[in-house]
Amino acid sequence: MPAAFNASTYTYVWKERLATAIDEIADAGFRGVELMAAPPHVELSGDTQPDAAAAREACRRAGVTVSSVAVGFDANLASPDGAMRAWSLRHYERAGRFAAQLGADFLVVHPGRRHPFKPAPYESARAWVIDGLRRIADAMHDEGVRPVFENSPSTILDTAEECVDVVRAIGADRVGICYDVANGMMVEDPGHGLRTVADLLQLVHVSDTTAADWRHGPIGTGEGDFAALAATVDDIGYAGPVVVETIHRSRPGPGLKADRLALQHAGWTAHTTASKP
Amino acid sequence: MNGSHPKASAGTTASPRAFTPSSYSYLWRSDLPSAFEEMASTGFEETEIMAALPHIDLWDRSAELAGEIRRASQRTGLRISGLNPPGLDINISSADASMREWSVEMYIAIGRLAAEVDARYLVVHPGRVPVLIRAPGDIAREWVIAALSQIARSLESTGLKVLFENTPTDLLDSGDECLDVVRHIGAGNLGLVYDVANGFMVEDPNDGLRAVAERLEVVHVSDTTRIRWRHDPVGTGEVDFRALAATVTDIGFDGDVVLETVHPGEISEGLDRDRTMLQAAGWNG
Repeated sequence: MPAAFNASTYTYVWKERLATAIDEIADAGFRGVELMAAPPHVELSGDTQPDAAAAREACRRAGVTVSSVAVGFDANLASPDGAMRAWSLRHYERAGRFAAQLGADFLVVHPGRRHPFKPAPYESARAWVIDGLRRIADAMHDEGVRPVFENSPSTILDTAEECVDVVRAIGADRVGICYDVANGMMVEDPGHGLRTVADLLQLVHVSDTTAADWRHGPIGTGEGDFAALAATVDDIGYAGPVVVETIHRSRPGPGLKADRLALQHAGWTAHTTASKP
Repeated sequence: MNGSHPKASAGTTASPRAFTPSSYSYLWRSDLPSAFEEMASTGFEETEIMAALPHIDLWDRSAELAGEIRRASQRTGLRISGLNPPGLDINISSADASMREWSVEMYIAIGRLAAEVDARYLVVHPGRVPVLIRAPGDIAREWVIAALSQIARSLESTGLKVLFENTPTDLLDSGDECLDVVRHIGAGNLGLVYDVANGFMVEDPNDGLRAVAERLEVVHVSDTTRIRWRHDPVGTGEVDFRALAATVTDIGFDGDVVLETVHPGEISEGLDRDRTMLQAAGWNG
């Protein structure tokens, strides 16, 4: 059984203050938080101690923990430009230190993106991503934060097989995998994807999408077969957190609670707070 | 190029100055000097350099770049009209202040390189907007204006023009919005590039061209479909180049027409075919 339903603060960015987001996530019955380390909630380019202290205090008050940290969309480990890869590394290292300040276990790392019209050769891009991820793992080693490589529909390393290949190239003792079912749906059967990454899986992201229009929609608003995915997650013996990473146009709190209930209705089981069914 | 504003009034006989190929297609296909030789031998007099890896490597090879480009230009006779950094990474509308700062530094560095190789302009894009969660449009617009102002100010002494380009990013991507940004900043070295394929994704590009006419310095041409944004060879998509030729003539545009097409096959033949197709559609150059 998954360890817990956690919720991402993603949907609160540019909508509510981070402390409000954490309160609402706790009220919606989640035990943990994945913190999106992006402005205006978190400024990674400055001193992150004040943001971390405020987030820790909000979590203590709400009775939740931060288990993972993700970053915004600018970073690009697959860039042909060495200056951009260097910026991306600095960005991830700052996010990793921020994760450590919060006591989080995981830092979510994306491969980046390729140019839509004139992409760099695949093998070059793969080598840049592996090099970057290795450097992030090195930097995080003493922080107690584990990088988890996430499948992202970016035309580079976006299938489960490719993610496994990247992680094994670095070492499964240093990097894990975050499997995002909506991202997976854009390129493969996410049930197959989950089975493929099972041995390395440390985080699962859930949201809904259609194959035609990539989204992180509320559970049940797209084409995701969450009953089938629940059976797969049970079958592979997954015991890590399940992060609800949905975007809600209206009030996120009730929306996240509805996502959790929809997942439970579809057969997903995880430990939740007892007082908030 | 007509540097005064407004541009020639409607109904004049002004016509585009020249067809200029972008070096876009040559990225990851051949080195830049070889690309220069091929474009020159295809009968072009200038090129707009796509300032991207592996051709333009400011990280590892900044010291020797300008000299290499100047030598290739002198050997082939192909002059450089402008430099155009790609939108893959640079992002002056990022919510992250350090990304905006890095992007401005990159634009200024590429602008200085452009001045060193005697180019006339630097192209600047508004950046990229996240698909799932984005900053409010008015805040992102202020970031773009601040960055563009800084780039224009930093490059003022070089004599280079800084040209803001419409890009289908859901942020400042219509002709009206681009003109509004340039007017708002008011810098004398700021102008506009109008990309017809980019415009096609968000508006009637004829309307876009008319909207930006007073500050229009360069037109980028390539073909695309509404469903899938492309920079394909002229005549392979849904863009009506005959109607656009009439519009360009009508607004009195007398700047460069840049062939910003990506050719998967033989590049020189493809660029020559683009030029022929445009001429058949009524474009002068």
